[in-house]
Formats: sequence, C-alpha cells, structure tokens
Amino acid sequence: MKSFFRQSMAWLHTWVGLVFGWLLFFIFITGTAGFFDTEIDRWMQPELPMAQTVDVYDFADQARERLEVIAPGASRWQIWFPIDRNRPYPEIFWQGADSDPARGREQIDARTAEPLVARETGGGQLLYQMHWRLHYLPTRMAYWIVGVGTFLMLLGLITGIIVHKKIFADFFTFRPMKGQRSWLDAHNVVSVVTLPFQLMITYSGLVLMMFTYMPLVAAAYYGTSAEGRQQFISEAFPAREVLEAKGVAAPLVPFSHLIEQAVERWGEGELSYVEIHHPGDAAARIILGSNLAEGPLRSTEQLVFDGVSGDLIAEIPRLTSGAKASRDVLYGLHEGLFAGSVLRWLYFFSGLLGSVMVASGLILWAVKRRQRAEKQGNQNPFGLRLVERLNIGTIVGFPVAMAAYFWANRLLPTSFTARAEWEVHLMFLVWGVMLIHAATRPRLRAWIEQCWIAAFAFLLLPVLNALTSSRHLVQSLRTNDWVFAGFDLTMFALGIGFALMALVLITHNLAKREREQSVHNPSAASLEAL
Amino acid sequence: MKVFVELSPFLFAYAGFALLSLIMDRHRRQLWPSIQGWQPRIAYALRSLGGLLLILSLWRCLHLWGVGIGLVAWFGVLTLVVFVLVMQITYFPKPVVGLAIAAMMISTVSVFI
Amino acid sequence: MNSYSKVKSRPTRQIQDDKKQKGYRLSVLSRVVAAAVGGYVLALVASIVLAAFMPGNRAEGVLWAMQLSFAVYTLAVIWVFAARTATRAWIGLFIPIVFLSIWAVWLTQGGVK
Repeated sequence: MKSFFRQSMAWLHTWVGLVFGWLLFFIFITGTAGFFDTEIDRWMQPELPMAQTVDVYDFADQARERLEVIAPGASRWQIWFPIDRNRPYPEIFWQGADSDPARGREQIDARTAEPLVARETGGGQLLYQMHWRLHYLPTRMAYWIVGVGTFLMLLGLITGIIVHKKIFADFFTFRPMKGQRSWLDAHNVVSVVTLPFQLMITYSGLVLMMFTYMPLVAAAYYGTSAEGRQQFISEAFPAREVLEAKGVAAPLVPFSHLIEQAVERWGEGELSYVEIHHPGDAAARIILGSNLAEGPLRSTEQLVFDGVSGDLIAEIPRLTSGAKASRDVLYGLHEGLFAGSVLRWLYFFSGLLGSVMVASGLILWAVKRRQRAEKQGNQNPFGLRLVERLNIGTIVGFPVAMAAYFWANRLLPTSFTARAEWEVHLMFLVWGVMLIHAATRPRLRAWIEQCWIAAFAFLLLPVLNALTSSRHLVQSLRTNDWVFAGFDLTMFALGIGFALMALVLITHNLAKREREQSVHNPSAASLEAL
Repeated sequence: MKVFVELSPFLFAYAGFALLSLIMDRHRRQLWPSIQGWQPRIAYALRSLGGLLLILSLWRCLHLWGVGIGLVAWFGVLTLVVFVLVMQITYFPKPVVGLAIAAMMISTVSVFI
Repeated sequence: MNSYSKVKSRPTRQIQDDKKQKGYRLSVLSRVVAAAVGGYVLALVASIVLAAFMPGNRAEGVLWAMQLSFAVYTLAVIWVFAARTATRAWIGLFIPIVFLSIWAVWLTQGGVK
C-alpha cells in the first residue's frame, strides 16, 4: 500500500513538473529578478541621480505646490517619501484631475523639485510583473495560467517531499559525474535546502491571488453582486470611509502640523506617504501612512485627518484581524519589500536555487528517458526530443533573452518613442531565436553554444554599461554606487557561471569521447545524456 | 569587527551543519578519513552541539534583525550555508573541519563584541 | 514513463494489448478531470463550510477559509492520484462534496452566522 502510494506520487510529481516546468522556470527567473526590481529600474535609467532623501516637511509643501498646478480639482493626490530602497526618489501621484492627463505619476528630483526625466523603459518593474502577468496575455488569462502553474508547483513540492525517501540521509549529498544519479542528487539538494522558501513563495503566491482563484467562497456568504463584493471587502479590510466631494470649496490645511503628529508617533523616517482626498473641497480628508515594509507584516498604520480643520478623525492600526494579518504576512514574505541588503541577497539566492530546482527536474526527466531510449536500441521518440530542445532553449535561452532585454535598453536610441515596448519585444524575439537554435543544432552543441552566448551576453553587459553611460564599474565602486556596482558585478558573475557551464560540458564531452575510444564503457556519463 | 557580528549567524550555522554532516558515515569518510567511526556517545555529543549551534545562529538572526525579519533571514542563512557546505563536501572536503572550528570560534567571540 | 505507469502498463506493453493501454489512458484522463474539477469543487465547498467555523466575524472567516482552500485542494488532488482506481477516486470526492454542499447551503442560507 505504502509503495503504491509512493509510486502514484512519483508519477504525479513527474508529470506535474514536466507539463508546467518551463512556465515555472520563467516565473521563477523573472520573479527572482523582481527581488531587485528597483535596482534594475535604476540601472535601466542611468541618467537618474543616486537615491535621494528628503525633508518630509519641505517636500510635502513642494509637492503640494506642484500638484495644485498640474492636478487641480483631483479626487486624489498622493505624496510619497523616499524612505528606503523600495523608493529611491520622492514621488507624486494624482487621479481624477481637471487637467490633462487626469491621472499621472511623477518622480521628483529632490534637489530641484522638478520632475526627473529619463529614457522610456519597462525597467525592472516590467520584468518583475511578468512573473504573474506573462506580459502579452490578457490579465485574467495570465492570472489563471500562473495560478494553475503555482498550484501544480505546490503539488510538485508536496509530492516531492513524499517521494524523496531519504531527506536527512541525503541532506548533504551530491555525487557528480554519475549520470542520472547526479541529476537526481542535484535536484534533491537544491529542493531540500530551499524547501522553506519554496513552500512559502508558492503558497503565498496562491494566497495573493485568492480573490481571483477562490471568489466563490466570499460569494457564498455575500452574494455575487457588486454590492455584496464591496461589503465583503469593507468588512475584511477595515479602512477609512471614502467620502463624496461636497462641491463646496474650502482651503486645505497646511501639512506641517499633521506630519508632526505622525513623526511623533512613528519616529523619523517612518512616514511613508500623505494621501489627500478631494483637495480644496469641504469634504477633504488627509491620510498619513506608515512604512508598509517595516517587517514581514505588509500593512500600514494610518492616521486620518479632516482636510479642512486638521482634526484627527481616525487611526487605523496595522493589525486589525488574525485572518488579515495572516494574509498580510504571506503577502509581505512573498514580496520581501522589508528585506535589507543581506536578506535581499538571500531571497535572490533562494530564488536562483528555485530556478535550478525546476531546471534540474526538467533535465532529469530527459536524462532518464534518453538513457532508457539508448538502452532500447537508439530509439529517438519525439516527446523526448521536444523536451530536450525546450530545456536548452528555456534553461539557457531565456536567460540570454533577459540579457538581450538589458542590451536593448542601452542600444535602442533614447529618441525612439516605442523603445520601452521594443525592449520587451526584443527579449521575446531573442528567446524565439534561442528556441529555434536549440531545435536545429545537435543536442550537446546546442547546450555548449547557448552557454557561450549567455556567457558573453552577460559578461559584456558591464562593458556595454561603461560605453553607454557615465557610471561604469570603476566609477560606481569608487563612489559607493552599489546599485550600479551590484548590477554590473552580478551580470559578470552570471557570465562567469555560464562560461563555466560551457567549459564543464566541453571537458566532459572530451573525456567521454576518449573513454569511448579506449574502452567500451557502458555506464553513461552524466552530461552526455543532456 | 562589525562584519563578524553580521556574519555570526552564517558562521554558527556553518559550524552546526558541518558537525551534523560529520556524524554521517558517508561524509565523515570525505571530511575526516582518518577517523574510523564515532562512539555513540561522541556522535550524540556532536549532534547536540550541531543542533545547539543552529539555535545560536537563530538567536543571532533575531538579535541582529528583530523577530519578524530575523526568523525569515534565518531560513535564508540555512539555505545558503547548506548549499555552500554541499559544494565544499563534494569538491573541497579537506578544509571543512578546520573552517568549521574557525567559524565556531569567530562567531563565539563576535557575540561578545 | 515512470514507476507508476510501469505498474499499470508493463503487462500491456508486453502483450501489446491496445484495450488495456486505452484503459490506462482513460484512467489518467479521468483522474486529471477528477483532480482539476472535482478537487476544485471540494476545496470550494469545504472552504465555505470552514469559513463558518473560523475565529472572528464572517468576513474574517471567509478570509481564513480562502487562505486554507489551497491546502484542501492539494489534499484532494493527492487523494485522487493515490486512490487505487479512478472510480474510487471519484467516489471519494463525490461523497464529501455532496455532504459539504448540503452543509454549505444550510450555513449560507441563514444557518449559523
């Protein structure tokens, strides 16, 4: 009975992992890049200055002056302060204004109080959002595809734990150069060491989208109407009431007194934003919010003031209910906005190992079947060939495409109006080319060639950066510009990694050929079966 | 000096996992070939010390980053350390025991800085 | 194919019995549908019932239940593929779905909260 259970779970693990493996790899890689989304944003806009800090009192007044000019009659203004790595520059946002555009967002230069101007780019945000929006697909469809993928990932993890017989005995075990055994070891080790991260990131991924995936749970109690849905949201997420504008003009109170109260309550550097509803109207409200990214609990404390009298009307705590707190923690853990530099790198590393886990699982599938096919007399089934080629074109080909995204960012002329879109188009075009290359070249040659392409694409990025911006590696190291230095060095490290992969593949292939020439050696080598 | 304080969760975890791997026959042969095997009592002591070092690593995480972030960071630390250790055991097993002892000493000292 | 399919399809491969091969494929298809659709429905009705028994007000109960629904779904899928036959898998889903649906209707049509 037990072994039947384990066998069924092994079957489930194998097929669940295979069918969605490439999508999961894509999600993992782009999501991992997302842990450095703002850093990538900044590398992709090298014209922008180093991260800034502002005096909250001064900037709130400057921002208000600017909003009064560019967004009069708005239903909502927001003023964001750059208090941590998540927001390098102060920002303003407006909505429902009488001006054109009625809704907008500007990053402000703290030195001049003027908007920052930089090249058009999708930046790290686009790369990050790709991991649940899949870029080209309609939103709903993308959410559901990613949802199915995430759920199958969860199933893969659980069945993987069930199937893995010797989690503790094999905890530290990796036996290289032993064919299928080595790939299984590699798959096991990276899965086990990152297991807490994997379970967290997968389950929280589902919970983040639970209103899309499980809407009927709420509908069962609140009905399917829009009002029912609204009632559920307001009960579940107690927030300030949203008032209608009265249509009677009334001056907005100065911010300084309100900001004083917030700073007194939360301390310096903890005030994250000021939000103004119906500025200039008698029904105006001003909300001050604390930092969302203080810890894993992703929630802000808010102070709500009357916008005309300046009286404190309500305080909304970060913690309102256990159920919401549980969701907020999962949300916070998934995004990792709270992570400082050490923890951010650990997140990034865990994400990379997660990608390796998916990749090694896919390779293991192919290696196993390639060995069996060879034993059964040089069969070459289509399914196996398809998986092998998709593996090459995705596991190495997609990273090449990401490098192409960065190359496009620097090579497309800044005057080209559609450059932001074309950065992405080029990324997917390059991926397509890599897939075609993988499909048409001999298998091992395709692996080696793509590894070399990836190696050079990443290794030369710091050079490209030096040629196309004034913030080259020496400069950034000298000025402690860790965003640029970090990006360049990471690209360099990735390039070295791919070059090593290519070299390992080559030496291994040579060794195998020599062995075959001297003695007939039936034990298949690990990489030959790639 | 401050860098050792920040490294202490990693160093404690490294020493702890190194000891835990050392009590497994397969890895003992790789890491310390001249030892034939452990007496049960010594194996028990090593296992306990290894576990204790992991808990000390958790304690340093909580101390450095607070409860919420520290707990998350601890899992990240464990992931990184085990991965590094597996690579070392596979490709450069010789220095592991020495490094583990050094890690234990440095991290212990760093607690008092 | 791997161990699971081996159990079912090794004799068929030897005898080249198309019927059995077809039976195996149908069984897999049936289980996939049971897991995807049946599992989802089970997770849904179980969560609706669960929502009534979680701490806090009605909205909090719903929030808790939504978060837990994916665990229920996972267990349901594991059941579907662990069952001896596809028919048993369906029965094992069907009975709790009927039972929980009735309970859910009773709860949401002014039963408890």
